[in-house]
Amino acid sequence: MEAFDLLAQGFAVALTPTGLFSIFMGVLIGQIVGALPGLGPAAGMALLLPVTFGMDPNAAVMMLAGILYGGMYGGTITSVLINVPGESSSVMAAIDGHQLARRGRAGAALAVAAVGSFFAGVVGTVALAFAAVGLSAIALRFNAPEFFLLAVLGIIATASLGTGSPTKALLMGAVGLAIGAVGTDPISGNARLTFGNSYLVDGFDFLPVAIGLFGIAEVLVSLENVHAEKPITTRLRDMWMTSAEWAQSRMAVLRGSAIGFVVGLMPGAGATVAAFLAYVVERRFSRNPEMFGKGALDGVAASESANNSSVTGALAPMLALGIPGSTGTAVLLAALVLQGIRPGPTLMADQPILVWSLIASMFIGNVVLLVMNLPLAPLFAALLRVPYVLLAPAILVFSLVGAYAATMSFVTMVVAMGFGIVGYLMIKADLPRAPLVLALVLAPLLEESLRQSLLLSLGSPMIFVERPFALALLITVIVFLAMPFVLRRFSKAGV
Amino acid sequence: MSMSTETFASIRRTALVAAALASITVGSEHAVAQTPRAPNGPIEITVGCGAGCTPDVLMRRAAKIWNDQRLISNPIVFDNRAGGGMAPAMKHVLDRRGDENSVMALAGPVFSTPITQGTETTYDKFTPLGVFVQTQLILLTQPNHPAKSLKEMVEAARARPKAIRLAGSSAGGTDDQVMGLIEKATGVDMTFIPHSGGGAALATFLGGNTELSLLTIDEALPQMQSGKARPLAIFNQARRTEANLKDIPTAKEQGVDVVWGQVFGLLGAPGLDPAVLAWWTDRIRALTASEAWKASIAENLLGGEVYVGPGLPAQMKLFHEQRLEVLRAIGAAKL
Repeated sequence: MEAFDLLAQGFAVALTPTGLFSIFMGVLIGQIVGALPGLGPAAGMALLLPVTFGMDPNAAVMMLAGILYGGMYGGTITSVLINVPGESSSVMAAIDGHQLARRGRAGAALAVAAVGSFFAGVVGTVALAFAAVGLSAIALRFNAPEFFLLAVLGIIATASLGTGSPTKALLMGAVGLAIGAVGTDPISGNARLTFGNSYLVDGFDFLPVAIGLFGIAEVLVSLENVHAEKPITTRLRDMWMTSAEWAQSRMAVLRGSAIGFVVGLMPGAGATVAAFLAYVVERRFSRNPEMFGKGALDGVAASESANNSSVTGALAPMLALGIPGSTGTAVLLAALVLQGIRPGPTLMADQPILVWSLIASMFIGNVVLLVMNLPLAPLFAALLRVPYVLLAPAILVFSLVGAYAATMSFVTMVVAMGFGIVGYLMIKADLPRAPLVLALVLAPLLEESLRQSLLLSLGSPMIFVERPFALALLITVIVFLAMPFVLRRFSKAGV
Repeated sequence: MSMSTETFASIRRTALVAAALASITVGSEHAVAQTPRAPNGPIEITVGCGAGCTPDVLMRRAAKIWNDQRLISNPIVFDNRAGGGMAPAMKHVLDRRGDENSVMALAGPVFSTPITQGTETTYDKFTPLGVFVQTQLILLTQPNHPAKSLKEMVEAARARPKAIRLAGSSAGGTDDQVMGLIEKATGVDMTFIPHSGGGAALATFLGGNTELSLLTIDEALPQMQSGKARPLAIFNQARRTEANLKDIPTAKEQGVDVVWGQVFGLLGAPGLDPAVLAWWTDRIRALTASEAWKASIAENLLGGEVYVGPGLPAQMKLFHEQRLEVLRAIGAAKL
């Protein structure tokens, strides 16, 4: 019952005018930076860090956290409307959400994302409030060997992405892994495949690649037959989600929230991996898996719920142990340090008001975000009624500004344009783009964790069998790999 | 840093006196007398890592005190250019020759990145303004590990080569350097496990996957207090005097002659007007003499050695040479 007392005290702080103002500003800014491609929540928090200097620590943390989860709501908007992920974890929403938008269901996609995010945020916060310490302890048992197997599962799952042949999907996944190898060797620190170019030392960031492959490539293809592109004519009141659509997405929201939270707990896995895993799991459970990649509302629901709950999950190791699991939580920790608060395992005991007002603020913030997003979903969707000749240049400008904002360097704009052309050629050659992008996200996790595992075990591969979680994941990997062959055998035997 | 601590302690005392009479003494200390002149307009501090990284936090604190105490009236803004071992951030400032408003936050990679990437050194291209804050490092082990001291840990490493593992951030970074120094000082062979960041490395250690972790004091303290980690050694010249830190022995007193820390400060653009340099020298002295700064150093368990004025370029060279030596010893140097 102690937790309830503390939570009540937290609400007392969060519900003061200052508290409410900070929450509102935080989620509003989060919504905006989330929607702007390139400028993610972490960058938005960093920009506001100096402002929080003079603020009361509780208010500062409530506002910064608001940006963090608010960004997850905002990221969906540009993904769905113009196929440009607002931030990296919204990439799955770009794939299916935009297909839905082209069928005039943008409103539904945005609405389900908002409801899913709200549910995920609230459930995640409850779990955070009552089990942060215990959950973080379990999360710590996930380390390099488990991350490696998780990444392997992801790579296998890329084969099921896209609508065409699995071979093509796997091939594109391999291309993504190869692109992911450019940059700095994560273990030795040596430059690799950079051809002496100092701009390639950090490798290809995922965001400009995704902006190019999805946003720009799409515009290029559409421009070929710009007069055939009919603006969407759906009436405003028909843009909301129907009850059938909601029924279809309910379970996806539930599963997405759970997966996202668990992945979020693991320091280093990240919201993008969470969204992706939720998406591929949902494809297995979905009643219409054939719709995935062509505009599956449940796919959008699962991935958007997952990225929001993963952000909440990532707060658990931060609050309970002082471990920042993502860039966003790292900025949040920095804000605490700047305020003279020392994060670590003693934080929850030393600063109960700070921690509990943060938790309380997240309940309030998620409600604010839901209220902000639901009525706006059809309005945003109505933007697509603008004729495509006007929309196309706007998307291009938006994409390139986003690429620039990510690093403040023109090089990323060139990268985005280059991958725009690559994406155009891939569409023409009927090659799926999603596996490439996801392999690029998974590549660093895959490589780093494999090599860390083998360093930890002093070279022995038995590390993947000796650890209980690793063993469970290894069995899952084997089952996934064997399933197609086994199923084929059974179906043959049946005939 | 080990060789110069005493020399610079005395410089620091001079600095404190000088700060009181700032405008008079600063000029006379320079080879050519310079009347300090403040730059016009906002000062932009370029930080080579994301908001919230150590140099970012330290310089934001300094900037706040400069502005709050009206020691500097120019607005101070921050520009975080993360990645590439700080190379893009360094290039950003190095390209602005003579620019009085562009300043770079000094951190380890300014020295180590050119060494590990085999490119031209950069530390000597900037106009150094001052090195005025250090983080100090503690080596920690698992609470239940049988080794009770650094000495016993070294023996354990000697008995089983490579079996003692340290989870740290990037290869060639401070954690890797300190492990290399310990190996060099004792002749043992340990395993360094690089991570993409300090948070991930800490998670690996707290998950019980490695024997060792290297943290700054303020990061280490909460882990020690909650019993999740046990200190083996601090890499200072002498022990800290605070009640909760005084029992941590130095590596040196345990027979492992390693004194190491991370240094932070500010670097001006190349070819900076000596009058502006004199102004920065003066402002850094005023900052480090202020009660607010001293309180922040004490509260955050930092080192407050101040290196400014005519001796600074030689000190920068020394910092570089020490890092070059370590990185060569661990095989990470390409220079």
